[in-house]
Amino acid sequence: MRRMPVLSLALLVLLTACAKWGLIEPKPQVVENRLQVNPSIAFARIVFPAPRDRLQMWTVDGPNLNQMLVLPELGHRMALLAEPSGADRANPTYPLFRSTMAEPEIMELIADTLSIAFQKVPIATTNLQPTTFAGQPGFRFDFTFSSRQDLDYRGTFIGGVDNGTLAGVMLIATAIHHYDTLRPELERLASTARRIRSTS
Amino acid sequence: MTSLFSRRGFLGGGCALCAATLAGCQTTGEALGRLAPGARPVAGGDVASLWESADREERRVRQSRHIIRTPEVTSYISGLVEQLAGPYAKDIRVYIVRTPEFNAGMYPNGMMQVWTGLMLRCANEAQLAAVLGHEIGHYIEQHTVANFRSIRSATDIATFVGMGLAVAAGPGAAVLAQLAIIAAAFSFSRDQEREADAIGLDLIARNGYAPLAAAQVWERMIAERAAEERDRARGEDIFFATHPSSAERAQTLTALAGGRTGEFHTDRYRQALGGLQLTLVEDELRLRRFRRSEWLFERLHADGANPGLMLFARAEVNRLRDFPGDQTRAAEFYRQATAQPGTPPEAWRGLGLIERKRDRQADASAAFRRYLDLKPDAGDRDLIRSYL
Repeated sequence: MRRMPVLSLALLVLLTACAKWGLIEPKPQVVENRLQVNPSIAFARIVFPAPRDRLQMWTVDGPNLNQMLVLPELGHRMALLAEPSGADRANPTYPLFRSTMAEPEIMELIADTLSIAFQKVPIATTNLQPTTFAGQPGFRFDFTFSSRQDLDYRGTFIGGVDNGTLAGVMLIATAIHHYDTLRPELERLASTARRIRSTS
Repeated sequence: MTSLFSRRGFLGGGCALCAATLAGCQTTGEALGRLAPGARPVAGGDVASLWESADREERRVRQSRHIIRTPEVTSYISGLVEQLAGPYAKDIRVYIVRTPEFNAGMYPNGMMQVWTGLMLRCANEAQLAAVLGHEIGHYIEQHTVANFRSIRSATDIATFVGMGLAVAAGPGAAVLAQLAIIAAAFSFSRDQEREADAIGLDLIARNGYAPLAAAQVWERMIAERAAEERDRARGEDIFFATHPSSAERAQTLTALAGGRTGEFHTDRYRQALGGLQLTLVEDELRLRRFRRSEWLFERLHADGANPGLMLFARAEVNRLRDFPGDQTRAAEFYRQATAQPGTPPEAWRGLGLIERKRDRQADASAAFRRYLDLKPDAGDRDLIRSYL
């Protein structure tokens, strides 16, 4: 148990080395065959080795400066982020989505997931509002936090629950510049989002 | 991974690395004896660089956004340290770090860090004073400096090893090796921990606190840890990785306390924390470690700490966990909380969410309305209004 954090860090170094980068072109993109969005600018996509998160990570200037996270579909009792290997399934690290959750509870789920992932920093949420996402009633909210290195970030999530599953897009970017620059693109992704139904 | 979205806990891994390394590289620094009050290392001397590193870290911490700066709270904690440290008071500076875990730390230059998770868990001033006294013990016995000296030769070897690793496995491996060395300097052996425990107990006894409070800190941690046992796959228990077992400490401290009595100052402690208590509770809840949170809030509630807030906290644990039966328990706790003074408006929001889920629309609307009345500028007001 005591050695586990070292192994995690070592694993992380490996993960960084093993991450693959892909190009997201400014044209309609189908994500995991579940959500279609239409970016107007090019992104780099970062693909980490397994275990895979539910969120697909895109960035323009690097993930420390900005991340456009696309959530194609999150089902009942699933977490946004993949459990570290060897984690106890009965006590998941990250909170689980439930299809019965109300919008304020989903906001809590997303904020708490981020808080845990960012070394237990407090995440301040605001502006939770009803909106339309992928042609269905949805919601949106803004959030802010400071990393443990005291870099200030802003973020916005736009998404919705349809047929018991959550989908959405989320921007996390430095408050000083990148958030304002990429916010219009987030709005574009949200406005062009279309959920793709499973045919099975 | 340098990813902003550190899903594998990259930054946490950095901290945890130190802890884990401590476990593996615990030093047995030779005792240096007590530090003289006001002493600083000789410029250019062997420990000057260690102090300079700590000074640099302190400059960063002083500017950090994660430091609690509520004047009433900071002056209260600083006052406690001043009282306990006596002739060393001017050498120690306290920073309250907003981190929801049980911990405190002492740097060789006199920087003391108190984590908010520790403050949440202490039932009274005497318990907090016992931990602060323990940290002062590390400082005045120069434990970090002793460790630093004992590993200096090892450092040279490890630097060499690091260079070798850099050649063999890339520069990342060398960084890991150097981090391990730094961490080792800040680790304390179990004997050093026992020595600091004894000093802490002596300091609280001399200042009129009940010596038994020192043992009670560890007894509570034993119970909380037992409650959390099945949450432990996360490997985040930094504190316990490097300290003597809580049971051993509790037994030793109980024996050292003997039959001596003193003050606990429970009410004074709760009053001093004031509005910060809600922040401490919310930060604990955000971790979603339900077993330990449930135990903790139940215990604090039983202690009589701010009943409205603790009932709210217990309700939130049940609502967020949402296991079978939790909604019913949450609703009951919310109802009890809303009948108490000191309950945050969010208790009405939680009750509304639960009642809405249970298809009790009238009760849900009434709760939401009360929430919006009490907190008209709530960040979720627009969406909550859409429920009415």
